[in-house]
Amino acid sequence: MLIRSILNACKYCGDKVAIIDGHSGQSLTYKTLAINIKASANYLKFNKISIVISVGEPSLDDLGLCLSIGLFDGTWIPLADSEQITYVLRNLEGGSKVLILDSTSGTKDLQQSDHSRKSDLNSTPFLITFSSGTTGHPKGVLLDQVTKLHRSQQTIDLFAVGPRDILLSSSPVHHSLGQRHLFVSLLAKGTLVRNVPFTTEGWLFCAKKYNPTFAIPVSTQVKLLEKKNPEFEHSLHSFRALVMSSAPCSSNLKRFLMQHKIDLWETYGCTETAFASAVKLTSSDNLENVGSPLSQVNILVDEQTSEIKVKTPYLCQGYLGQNSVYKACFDEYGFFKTGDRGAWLGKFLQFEGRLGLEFTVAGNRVNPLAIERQFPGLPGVGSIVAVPIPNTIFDHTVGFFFVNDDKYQTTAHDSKKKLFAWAVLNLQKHEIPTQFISINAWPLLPNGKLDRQKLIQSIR
Amino acid sequence: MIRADILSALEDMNSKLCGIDPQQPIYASTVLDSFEILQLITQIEVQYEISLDINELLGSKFTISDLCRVISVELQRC
Repeated sequence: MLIRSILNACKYCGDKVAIIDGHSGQSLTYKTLAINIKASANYLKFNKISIVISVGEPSLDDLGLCLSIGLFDGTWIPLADSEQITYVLRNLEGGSKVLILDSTSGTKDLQQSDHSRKSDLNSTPFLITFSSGTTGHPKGVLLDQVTKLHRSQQTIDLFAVGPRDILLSSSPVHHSLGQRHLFVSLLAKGTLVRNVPFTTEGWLFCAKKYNPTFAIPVSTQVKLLEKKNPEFEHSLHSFRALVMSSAPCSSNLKRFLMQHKIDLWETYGCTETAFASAVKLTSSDNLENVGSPLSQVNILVDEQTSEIKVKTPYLCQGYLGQNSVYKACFDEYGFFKTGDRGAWLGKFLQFEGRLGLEFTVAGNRVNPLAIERQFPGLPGVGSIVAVPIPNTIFDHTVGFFFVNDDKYQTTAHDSKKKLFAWAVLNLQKHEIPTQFISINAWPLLPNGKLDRQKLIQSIR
Repeated sequence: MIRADILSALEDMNSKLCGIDPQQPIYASTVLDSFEILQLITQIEVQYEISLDINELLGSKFTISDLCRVISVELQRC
């Protein structure tokens, strides 16, 4: 269904460029993509391959091969690295023939899944996407073509994505946002520019060369890009809309986008639910929120735990090999428990980070994200990450990680003094950090999000 | 840095310290609560780039004089 819709789009677009690899400059037209998909489908069918695993970002040629599996109800499993292959093969239907395309090593390999394994899947998913792993426990999220198509259509309708749009994607296809950019662009008959793996230089280069109009970057990418100002702001001049996913936009960037009449959307959603809420900001003084529930979507914030719960027709179909874990994700009313913390600001949802991120300081609850949101940035320190530091007397105390920006010619010691002074003036007593740790660069997950666990573990 | 200077610097950091006899235990004086002592320790560490033992400072017998001595020793190590 999804892939047939993409082939239909290809029919209309012909020689129009469908995808450009921003790093190499290579491009693929809709016509060539259609030819690749059809030829690959024949190859897969002839070899009785029902599953394609891509490791790393597939080349433009291989992308057709990955998509073609959808023409006969096979499964595409995009992975960040080869470490997950064993787990995946162990949990697939026994005896399935699997093609592994490893772009990190440039190899193609045919394997069979474990014969003894009887899959517990009710239906064959088109996509298995491993969620970000922010919790440290990545799960293989199962998605069929109908859901993926509906999700893409939801994005197209919500942000009015059309054939004139040039989408700049900085997320790999093994991440749900990378897939979102890809499918939305193809179904809307637009052009996709890939800046994968994400680099700030790649973004600036692609923006200058291809004049993108639309993107859904993750907050870490935006934070890194904001350090490149004024070049980053200049790179946004061709944009008509920018969508922030879960994390709110900084006030400086918000102001810039408003001034230049670029639509700014704040949204909330996760790999399991797709977009659940959204709001188009209309002035720079908007409260920080991620909007109100989208059409057909219900959102609850649990009164006791503050957990965000979602009921949506865009829901995924399960977790690979973890049926019981998936079932446990629902409350008695069938709402999906996201593991995220939220609050209502009137009719708008406020996203307050992961539930598990909170900790206590002498019995006082600390929400690191709330502290980080308050931090306005100081000369030499653009952003901070608040983490728990184990302490025998207080349970924990708060620690700040920061990256010292040499551009301002301030030493890390000066920055620590400034951070302390800011904390004393702006935070509650129990939130004032006891340690300020300067690092060279933020550790990132393969999807570009901050690897918070790595920072926490580095203290222990 | 002599101890009188350290004491003066500490009182600049938190004026409540002026209300505590230097020989009186800091925590037991109840002039500063545990969070304020924690904040003071952090400020000293940030200011002088030294490391202090929080357990020691929150001990029942630890005085301002002890604190000045510890800072003095730590500064000499730097």
